[in-house]
Amino acid sequence: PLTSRVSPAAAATMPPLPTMTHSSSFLLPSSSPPAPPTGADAENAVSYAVVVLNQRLPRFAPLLWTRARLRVCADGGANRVFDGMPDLLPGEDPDEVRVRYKPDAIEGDMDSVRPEVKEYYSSLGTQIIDDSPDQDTTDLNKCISFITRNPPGPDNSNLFILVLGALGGRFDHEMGNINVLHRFSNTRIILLSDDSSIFLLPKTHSHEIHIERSVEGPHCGLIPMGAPSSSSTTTGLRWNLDNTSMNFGGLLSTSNIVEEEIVTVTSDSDLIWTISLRKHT
Amino acid sequence: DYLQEDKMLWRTIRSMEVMAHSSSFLLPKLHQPAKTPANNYTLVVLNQQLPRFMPRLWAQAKMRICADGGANRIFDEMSQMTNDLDRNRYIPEIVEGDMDSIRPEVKRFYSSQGSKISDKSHNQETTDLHKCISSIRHRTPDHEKANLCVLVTGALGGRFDHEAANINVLYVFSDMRIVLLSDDCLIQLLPKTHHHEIYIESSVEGPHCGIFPIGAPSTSTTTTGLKWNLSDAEMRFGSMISTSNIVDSDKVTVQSDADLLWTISLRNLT
Repeated sequence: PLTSRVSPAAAATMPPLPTMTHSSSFLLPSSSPPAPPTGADAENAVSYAVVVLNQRLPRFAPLLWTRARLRVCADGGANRVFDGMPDLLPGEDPDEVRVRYKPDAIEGDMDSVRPEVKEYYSSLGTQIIDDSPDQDTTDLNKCISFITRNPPGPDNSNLFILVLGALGGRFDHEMGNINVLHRFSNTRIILLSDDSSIFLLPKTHSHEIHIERSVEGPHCGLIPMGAPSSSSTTTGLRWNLDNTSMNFGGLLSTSNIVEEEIVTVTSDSDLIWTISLRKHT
Repeated sequence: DYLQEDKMLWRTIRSMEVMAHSSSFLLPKLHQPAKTPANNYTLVVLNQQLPRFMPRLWAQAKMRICADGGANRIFDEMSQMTNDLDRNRYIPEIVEGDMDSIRPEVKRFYSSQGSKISDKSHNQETTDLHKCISSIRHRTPDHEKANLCVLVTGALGGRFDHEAANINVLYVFSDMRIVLLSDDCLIQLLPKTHHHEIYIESSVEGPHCGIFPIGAPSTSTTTTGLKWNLSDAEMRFGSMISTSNIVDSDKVTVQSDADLLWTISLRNLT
């Protein structure tokens, strides 16, 4: 045994952690964009915001864009939307696609966005927020701050921020983007690439991850990024953790397999959950 | 007694050993400096699209190992990069791994050309990269270990859990020099046991760089040679880590109480 268990007496007096549920239902295909909810539904309804960073769009970008009520491009992410959306919707007229897939805001220091792209979106009403580069916050950090200050719904409680282009590319950017998950641990932020989805499982909660098998899995992992975990416990995986310790230099849970429709995770440390996305997603 | 006191003093004033790093392996062969920190290169090719500068790495390496599907990548992509249709010029010495990705015809070709096929399919506990590094270490005599540097392509990008497992290999084998390379950047471990001197080859790398405490937080890290140096600074995920930094000198130094990952952007490498 790698860790000592909490004594039964102590366990009985510790309050259980609140549960946080997670679902990738936003990746499910739909034939038309969902109508915004009204009345009582509106208060509990989930709302999505999309942030596009400066990497090639994943194949499901148009689907997430139409799901979202707020779309922000970080600097060169605007080039990616301008060039990439028509490519992902080849049957449609590029100019019509560009008008339909217009960001609400472009934020950053504007050193990557092409001048003609900036002009084009500006003329369509996109808000241009020119921020000088700053050592302490990355482009993604600034976009998340913008969204939390201007939530698309009544508040941030059911807001999910979907980020495209945060993984791959320059490694320091990727690390900075993962650090944003830790810095905004009270905000639901999901980083998505063609291959994977990742989000933070804060140690303050016990987690229930609902698996959408048609679009994600089976490969998954749990990574203690930034600090070791002396005790993590899971259910629903092929190789479950049972009060197991994980750290860089030792064991990480990678190349694991989801076996149940609900995976549960509890840990003494913040963990990054990752799951593979199916090729036809 | 005075003898004990002397011994203790000696332990505290002895400075940390310096570990020097250089990316001279990225330079064309003709521009190799006479002396480099470690110049016995082994190349490990994982199963992702080859970086643009693969021919340069291939030429530098004394030993080339394809990890499973990495052999497909050499077979398919190398000739396009070099405009050289002769596959016989790019034969890895070893093809190693669990063999679930390598195409049968690719395996047959390399086997017929003399590559050693090392089938590790019985071991499902570790990744292909882990297996390769483990064999390299096993095969390298002790007196040659200090001079060995393992260059790895295809470890970054792709599935995130694979990337994390590959980065973990740097931590598990922290006494070896291992460099993970992509088209955009390189990453390597700076163990806390050493004071690091990183010589910057500005014709092929930089200026963007970063330093990350991925395994555990650092309570004290000090650097020189960066635009935003750290001075006895704390670094932690959830708080400050050094991203989008800029190299400001041809030598960067790093000393820390935690193992750190160093990354620098690559350029001009077509």
